[in-house]
Amino acid sequence: MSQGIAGKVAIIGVGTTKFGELFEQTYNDLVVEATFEAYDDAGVSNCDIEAAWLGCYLPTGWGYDGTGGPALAEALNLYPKPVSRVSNYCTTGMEAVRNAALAVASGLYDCVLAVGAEKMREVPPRGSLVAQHVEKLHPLFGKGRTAPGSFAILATRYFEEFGAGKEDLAEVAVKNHYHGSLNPKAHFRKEITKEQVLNAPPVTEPLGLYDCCPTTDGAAAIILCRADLAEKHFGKKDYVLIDGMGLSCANGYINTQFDPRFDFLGFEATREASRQAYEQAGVTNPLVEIDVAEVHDCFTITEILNYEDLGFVKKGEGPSFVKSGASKLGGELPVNTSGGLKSCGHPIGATGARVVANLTDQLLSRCGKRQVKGAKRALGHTLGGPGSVSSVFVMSKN
Amino acid sequence: MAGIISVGAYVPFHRLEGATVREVWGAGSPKVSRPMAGFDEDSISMGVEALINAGSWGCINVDALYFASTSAPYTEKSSAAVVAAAADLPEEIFSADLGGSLRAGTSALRAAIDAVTAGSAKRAAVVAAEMRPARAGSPDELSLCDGAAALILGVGEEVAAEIGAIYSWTEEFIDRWRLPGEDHVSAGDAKFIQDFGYVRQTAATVEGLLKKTGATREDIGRVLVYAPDARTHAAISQKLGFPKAAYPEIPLVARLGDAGTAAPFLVLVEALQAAKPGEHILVAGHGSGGDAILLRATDNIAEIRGNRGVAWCTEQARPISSYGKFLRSRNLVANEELHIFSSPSILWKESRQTMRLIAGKCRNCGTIQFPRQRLCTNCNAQDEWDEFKLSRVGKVYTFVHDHLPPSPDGYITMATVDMEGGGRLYGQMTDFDKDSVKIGLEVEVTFRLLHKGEGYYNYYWKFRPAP
Repeated sequence: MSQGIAGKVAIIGVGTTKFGELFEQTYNDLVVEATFEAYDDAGVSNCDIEAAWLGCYLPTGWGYDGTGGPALAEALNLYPKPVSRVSNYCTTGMEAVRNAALAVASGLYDCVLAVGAEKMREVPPRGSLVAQHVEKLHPLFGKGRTAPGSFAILATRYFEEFGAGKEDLAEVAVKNHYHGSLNPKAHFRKEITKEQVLNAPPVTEPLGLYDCCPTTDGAAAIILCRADLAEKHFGKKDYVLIDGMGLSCANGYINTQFDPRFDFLGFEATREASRQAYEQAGVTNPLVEIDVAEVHDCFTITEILNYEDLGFVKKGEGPSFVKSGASKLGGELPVNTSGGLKSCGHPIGATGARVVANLTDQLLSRCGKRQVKGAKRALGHTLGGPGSVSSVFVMSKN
Repeated sequence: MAGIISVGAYVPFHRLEGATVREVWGAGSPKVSRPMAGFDEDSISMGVEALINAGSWGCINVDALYFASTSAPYTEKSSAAVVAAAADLPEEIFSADLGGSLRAGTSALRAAIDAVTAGSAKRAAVVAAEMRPARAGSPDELSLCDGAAALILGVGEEVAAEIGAIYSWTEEFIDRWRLPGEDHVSAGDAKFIQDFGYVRQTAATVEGLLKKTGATREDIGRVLVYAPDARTHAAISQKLGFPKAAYPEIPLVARLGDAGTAAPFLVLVEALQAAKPGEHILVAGHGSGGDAILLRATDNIAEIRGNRGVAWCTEQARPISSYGKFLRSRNLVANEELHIFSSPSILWKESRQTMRLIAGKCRNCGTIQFPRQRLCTNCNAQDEWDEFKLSRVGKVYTFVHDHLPPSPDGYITMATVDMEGGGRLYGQMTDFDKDSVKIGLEVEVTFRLLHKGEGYYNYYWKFRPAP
């Protein structure tokens, strides 16, 4: 690796819509709302944006969704600028930000826009991601696999290997619903109890209803610029810097569960993506050096594995980490203070961008009741496919 | 001399019990426990299992395959070809789909015997398989039995039962019938069809064979006839006048039910696996006349006793938990309609992997990969692999019970299985008790109907707990 990203790219504005079942809003509405909130935050307008990236995972079939760059340009009147759509399973939103950041770091653009948006509720919840798995993909290989199934299958092995159980998963759900109750933009804003989690109907054993994130609409937008222009040109005294960005494809989309090298105890993609990001950011002890984190809790088991794959704790110690309160607001390393995917929901293309936006808010001390005091360094993590691709950002306050 | 080299049978493990039916309809003998194909089984999948049980796991070396069924999944596309692929037969074979009559099984057997005798085939596989049309609430649901049996024929020293003689005759006669698209079997006057159909015709078939060979009743150790029910079997037996010992103590039709075209094969497999060297066996198929075949067990007859047959399948039997499961499995109630993507070109080009479970083994580092990759995931060697057939058995590495995808059972169990000898498979489990699934469970693969994407039948392999 020649040079890192550190010191090259700044985030000067963010915006997010409310996340939820937004039946009154089209995909275009979500994009406009998030983007203009970000423009206001950054003090910029369409004119300042030289290029844009759209992160959208499941386009077509549901109205205005973004299959390509023009879908974003159309919503925002960005003509005739360079606009691309990117997609990388559940890391898609972060991938939009990553590509935008790479473009700025290359020197080609001074100020760019990254938007993650997903409209999942123009169809019934089963009509979106479940139908994808049941009715599409390969006609034979892996038929019967679902998104929760791809993660629950690790829970089975993990429980056997480390003596963990559903009670450990429940801790994650309770924590994240508590955090979500403090986030006005979360999909779910009610606290839940451990009993509710354990008594919930099964989805994919051992995951029950409250171990799974909901089906949600939402969008988030990020304005990035050259770090040396953040104050000089855009007049920002306080902003966020990207210290490291990692991306790793470590398993196949179809082949993961067939791969004899896969131990089903964690994800190589997360380990490698975080290794890249930590190296660029100069992080050697994340538990100590990271003040706040947003990790991919599509399912409760995933958050536990993430603690270990991201190097907060050793393999097998994930349950203790959450049980001790270390990952709760007020703990040693608060994780998913936004409520995570559990409470915010997971509009697939939007999540990675929301993560970057939420962490920016933490670093700029704008989180009110959810604020991690004195947060200077943040980590964002997304994980996609059956755990085959992961993206990790390390960000800090200027 | 032409004869039977090997036999195998498959009778579904699921049992629809008389007591279960009685609870719903108020009628049904508690003594009845009849084999019922599960929602992921059909004549093709059962035929495959029977053929593998007769042959082996791995390439079965025959040059002809006859597939007989009145309930083949396709009316206009070869079911035999599907069976040939899944049982891993060579491609250069003669294959035929026979149907249209409950006699199709013995018709196929006769054709196979003739082919092998004439030398137009060295070895022939004959498979008879039925998924009987049982209408809910009718007596048929407890009297009709699903199942399949396979015979491998050849000539020479390895023959376990020599073919002595065959006699056939044909007489137009309406006893039972079914039209295309109908979901039930119709029958003529019960007394007439018993006395003038099954009894008179079977007697004529058997007499014809005895006359042709000059054999007497005392020469025949076992007499196996087709009958739609126990009472008709008794009437036929009485008319035939063989010594009591020549008839099965309790005929298969009384124990399991009427298996249609597969019935003569199932009773024959059962009889051959119990036969002693030198014993003469007579088996008759029925349908507008009949075929009778006389066989003699050779000194090799003991070789086939270990194969999975009727007795082995009966040991695996488990009653279904409710009448509802029967309705669901047979699509007799609303099941969620799915529109699953499939593609004839994908199925064709990946057929050696998906139908024959042949993985790729890297020539450079020995890594076994399934699904196959052009580039070895271990050493990056490109297009440097040999075919490697996966084992039939393996151990569960991890699994989930998933309630999300639609399924007649309300959940699908997916398992990642490490196959014996190398390679790893991931797929659905079937025919199992939920509580018995654990890491380390030994399983074997079984060929099943996966779905009906694009309107045709998509087959694949599932895991079943190893017996």
